[in-house]
Amino acid sequence: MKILAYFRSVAAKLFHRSRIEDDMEQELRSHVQHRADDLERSGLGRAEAERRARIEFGGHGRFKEESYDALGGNFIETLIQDLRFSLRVLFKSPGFTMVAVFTLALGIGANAVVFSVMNAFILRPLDVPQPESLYGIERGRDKVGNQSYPDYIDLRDRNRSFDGLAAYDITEAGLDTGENPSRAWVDVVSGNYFDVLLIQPYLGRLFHGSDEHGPNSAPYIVLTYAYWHTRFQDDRGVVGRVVQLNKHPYTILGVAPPGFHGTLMFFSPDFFVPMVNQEQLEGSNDLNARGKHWVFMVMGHLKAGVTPAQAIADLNSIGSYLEKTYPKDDGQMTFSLARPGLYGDFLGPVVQAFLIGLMLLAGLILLAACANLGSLFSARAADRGREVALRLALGASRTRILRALFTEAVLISLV
Amino acid sequence: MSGHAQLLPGTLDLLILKAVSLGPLHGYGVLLRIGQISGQALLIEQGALYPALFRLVRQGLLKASWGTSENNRRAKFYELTPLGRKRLREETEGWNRLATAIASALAAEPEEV
Repeated sequence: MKILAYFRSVAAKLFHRSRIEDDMEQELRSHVQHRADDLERSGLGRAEAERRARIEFGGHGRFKEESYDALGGNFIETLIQDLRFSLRVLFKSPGFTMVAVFTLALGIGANAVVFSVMNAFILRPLDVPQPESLYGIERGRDKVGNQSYPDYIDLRDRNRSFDGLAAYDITEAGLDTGENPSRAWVDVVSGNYFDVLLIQPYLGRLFHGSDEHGPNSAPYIVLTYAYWHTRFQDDRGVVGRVVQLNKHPYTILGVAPPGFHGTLMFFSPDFFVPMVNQEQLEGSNDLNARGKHWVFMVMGHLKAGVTPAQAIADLNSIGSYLEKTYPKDDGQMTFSLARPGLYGDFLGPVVQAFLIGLMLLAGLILLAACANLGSLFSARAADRGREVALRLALGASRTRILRALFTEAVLISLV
Repeated sequence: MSGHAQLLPGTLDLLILKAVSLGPLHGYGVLLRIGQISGQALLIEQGALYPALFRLVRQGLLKASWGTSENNRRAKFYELTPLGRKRLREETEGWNRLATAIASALAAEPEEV
């Protein structure tokens, strides 16, 4: 009821302004006439009575204005007035406006860029299902991620803490699809890679652990969505096609889902190939070399209910077995867990520190931009001293002037 | 001036509500009615009445409509809404409490303390 009356009053005021003013004028005049009637009855002439009535009534213009304010909706009306005035003032000094807007744009732009990078790398988890239970395994005091292939196999088969352990390495290979042979980035991955990461195919199928039967037994390719898009133009007929990879025939099995580009945040391979074909891809067969730690990283999802500490204890017991059994090849075999997205603790803290530093820097830039803008505004305020003095002299209240100036500043920041 | 009392801030609204509660009135009529029921003791600047009237309409306590006055002139008549009636009751109680409290405070004698 009350709110309804308020809105009716405000709406009437905004949309039927002249009618309302007219109405008000008539009402005030009616009052004076009534008073004059009374005075006339007490014996005055009509002209004198009306003059007296007007004097008694007091400041006609002032009361009319106060009545008008009492109708409410002044906030919106004042805002519209201030906005119109600010726009006029800003268009009158385009130099100032452009410099102010440009300064703010630079400051805000730098922040937006840095923040979006930080958001992608630090704040958001890796774009795979259930990223919270995915851990990479790091070795030794230096916390390096690389392992040898036989060690990986032992870790994979002997641990009781992970749902499965996948491994990958990064290499470059020459891809020939019959036209335009080119070099491509390849994730060389264990057969169970997609199953361990819970990745479902976008097109065709993915390879599995059961596709591996010894060295060079699995000549299969799974494309990333992005590479399928750029190199094969979203051609659905690509599944089953045989292409030449380092001059060996490989079959394209399928396409990985959009958004999945391996587990390194800052690296996007073109396709995935089984690790057992390492010899054809990297030129040497190290599948049995326990001393060569060429596998880039080993990772997997912890089993439900297993804590990282339990998993580390489990891995360390395998490690001490490996140390004893292969003292020549395996040095210190203690393990720790880390998030795989930024290559664990090897790169992660460095990247994080760098990005946070960058964010601070961008914050400083914004601060500097604001300071510049502040001094710009104050210089302008000094210039406008005369204008403000004039307005005060004409009867504007201080709050009203401050409000107008504030509207102007907000307008600039919105632009 | 000696026979007139100064109006306390905020009491004008209450007086208007009371005056209008006795029957629909136009602006000048409100003024006369207040004079009448207060025994001509309260002095109200004539023009100051109107901002208050418009404010009360906006708050939904009064409603206004044009009509013809006893002088055969066009005039805007005000009457109470149900909300206005409720507000008048509340404010009257509040005022009476305040007046009683102040009166008893001012009537205190040294021996009562």
